[in-house]
Amino acid sequence: MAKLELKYGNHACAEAAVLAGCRFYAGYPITPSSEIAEKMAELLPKVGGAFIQMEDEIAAMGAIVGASFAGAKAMTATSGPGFSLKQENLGYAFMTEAPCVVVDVQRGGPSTGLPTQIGQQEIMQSLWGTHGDKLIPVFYPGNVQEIMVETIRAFNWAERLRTPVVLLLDEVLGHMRETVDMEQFTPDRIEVWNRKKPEVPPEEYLPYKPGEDDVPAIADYGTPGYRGHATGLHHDYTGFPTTDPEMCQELIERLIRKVKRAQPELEKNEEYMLDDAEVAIVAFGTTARAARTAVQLAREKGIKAGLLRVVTIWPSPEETLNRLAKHVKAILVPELNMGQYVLEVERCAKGEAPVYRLNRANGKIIYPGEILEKVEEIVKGGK
Amino acid sequence: MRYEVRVIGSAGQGSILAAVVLATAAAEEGLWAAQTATYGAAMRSGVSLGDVVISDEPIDFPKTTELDAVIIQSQEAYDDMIKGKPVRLDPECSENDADVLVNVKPGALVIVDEDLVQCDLDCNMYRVVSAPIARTAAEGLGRRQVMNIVALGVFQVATTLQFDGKPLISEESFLKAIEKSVPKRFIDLNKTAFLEGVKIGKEALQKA
Repeated sequence: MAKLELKYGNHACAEAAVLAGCRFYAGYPITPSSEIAEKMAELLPKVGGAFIQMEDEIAAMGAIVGASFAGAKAMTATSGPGFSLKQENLGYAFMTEAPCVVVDVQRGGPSTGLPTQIGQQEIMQSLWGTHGDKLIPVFYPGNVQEIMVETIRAFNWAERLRTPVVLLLDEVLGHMRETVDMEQFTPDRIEVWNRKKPEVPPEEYLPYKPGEDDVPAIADYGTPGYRGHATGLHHDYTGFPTTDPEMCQELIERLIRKVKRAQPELEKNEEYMLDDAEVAIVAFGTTARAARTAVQLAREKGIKAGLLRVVTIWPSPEETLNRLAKHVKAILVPELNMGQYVLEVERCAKGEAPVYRLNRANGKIIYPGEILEKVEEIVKGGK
Repeated sequence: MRYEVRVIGSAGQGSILAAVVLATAAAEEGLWAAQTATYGAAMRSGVSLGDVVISDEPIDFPKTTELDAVIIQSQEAYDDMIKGKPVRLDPECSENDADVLVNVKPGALVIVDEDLVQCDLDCNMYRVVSAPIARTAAEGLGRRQVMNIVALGVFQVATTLQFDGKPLISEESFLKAIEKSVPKRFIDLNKTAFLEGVKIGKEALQKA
C-alpha cells in the first residue's frame, strides 16, 4: 500500500540526502536551487550534521571536498552560474578522489540567463565543464519520487567509486510539489553504501594505491596513524606529486576506468512502448514527461512511438542507444537546449537511424503536443 | 483518470496556497498529485496562479493542458482567462514570458466569486458555480484572507457535479491537508473557512 505524501522537489532532494547519510552541506544560495540549502539548514543540525553558507560557490565546493576528506558524506547544490564556479574544485574532487554530490538545478543559460525558468543546458557541462580528461557519473531524475531515489543513488556511487557525482535537476522538478510514496524510503527499504576503509596497518598504508576495483581505500583524515596527502597534481600511490610518465598515464586511465567499468551497473533508463516502436524519443528530466504523454498521443493516432528515458546521463548508455538505433526507423531527441545530448545520441547511433532534434532555450518547457507534431512530421517523411 | 485544476486570482489572494492545500488533500485521499506554479508568486500586483494535476496513477506530464476545473478569485484573473491571452504572472515579465494558455474543457467546473467576478460564461458549456466566497470570509469569519480556503470548500462540493454525486476528494482529506499546510495558529480558522465554503457551495448548487 502506497503511503502518498506531497513533497516539494528541492526539499525531497535534501531529505533523501540525509537518508543517504549526508552530514555536511556547504552552499551559496541561487535560484532555483535555494530550497535545497534551506531544507538542509533545517535537517542537518537535527542529525548531528553541519550546514554552512559560504561566501561563494567556489568556497562551498572547496568546503565539501574538505568535509569529504574528513569522512563526511557531503553535498552542495547550485544552478548554472554557480555550477560554472564549482568546476575547478569539481575537477579537484575527481583528481583527489573525494566522494561528494553536486546538485545542479538547471535554469536557462548561458550566464545568469533565466533565473526562474527551466533549462537543460548543462548536459555537456556536467561532464566536460572542468578541464582535463575525466568520467563523472551524472544522474537526472524525472519526478519528485525519483529525485529521492537518485539522490540516494548519487551518494552511494560517490562513496563506492570515490568520485564526485553530479545530480541534475531542472527548475520545474525542483519547484514542483508532487506525491511521493514514502513507503519506499523507510530505513529498511533503502540501501546505503559507505566508502571502504584501509585494511592494512598504518606502516603499509598507501592512500592512493587502488584495490582490484580500481578504487583506493583512503583513510578519513584524522584516523590515527594513517597519514595522507592530497593534490590536484598528478600523484603516485603516496598521494605526493609525480611527473613519472608511466604513473601519470596509469593514474588518469584508472580514474576513468573505475567509473567506466561500473557502467553496466550505473546505467539506468526507462523504456516505454519501445518493443514495436518505429520512432523512438530519447529524453530526460521534465522533457521526458512531456515525451511520455506524446507517445500516448501518437499511439492513439496509430503512430508507433516509444520512449527511452535516460536517467544515468553519463556514462551514456552507449550500447543501449546503438541497439535502439538498429531497432527503430528514426530517433527524436527533444531537449531544452540548442542540441546537446543529441550529439551523444548521434555518436552512439552510428548512422543506424536518422536522429532528429527538437530544441528550445527560452525558459519554456516543451509540451506533449509539440513533440507529437514533430513525431508526425518525421513519420510523414519530412524533416 | 486525470483531473486538472487551476486556482487563479490576484496577487495576495493565496491562489498558490490553495493549490498546495488541494494537492495535499489529493495525496491524503490516496491520489497522485503534481502542483506547479510559475516561480515568483505575485505578492503586490498582477495575476497569480497555482495548478494541480490529480490522478489515480503516477502522473506523466505534470503541467496542466486541459482544465477540468478553474477557481477564479478576481475579475482581473477572470479577464485574463477569458481574453484567451497568456496570463501575465509577473509585472516584470512580458506576455510572451508567461506560460502558454491552457484550455478549459467543455463541461469544466468554473468556480467564481459571486461579488468579485462578473461572469458571463455560457452555462451550457461550463458548470459555473457562483458563490459569495470573499464575503463569507470577510463577514462570516472576519478574515478576508481565508477566501482561498473558502473557495476550496465550494470546489469540494462542486466536484459532485462531475463524479456522479460523489466529491473528488472527501472533506476529511481537505481538513487533514489544512492541518499539514497552514501555520498552527491558523488551523482552526482555515478549517472553519473550508467548512463554510462547503456550506455555501451546497447552497450555490441548489440554486443552480
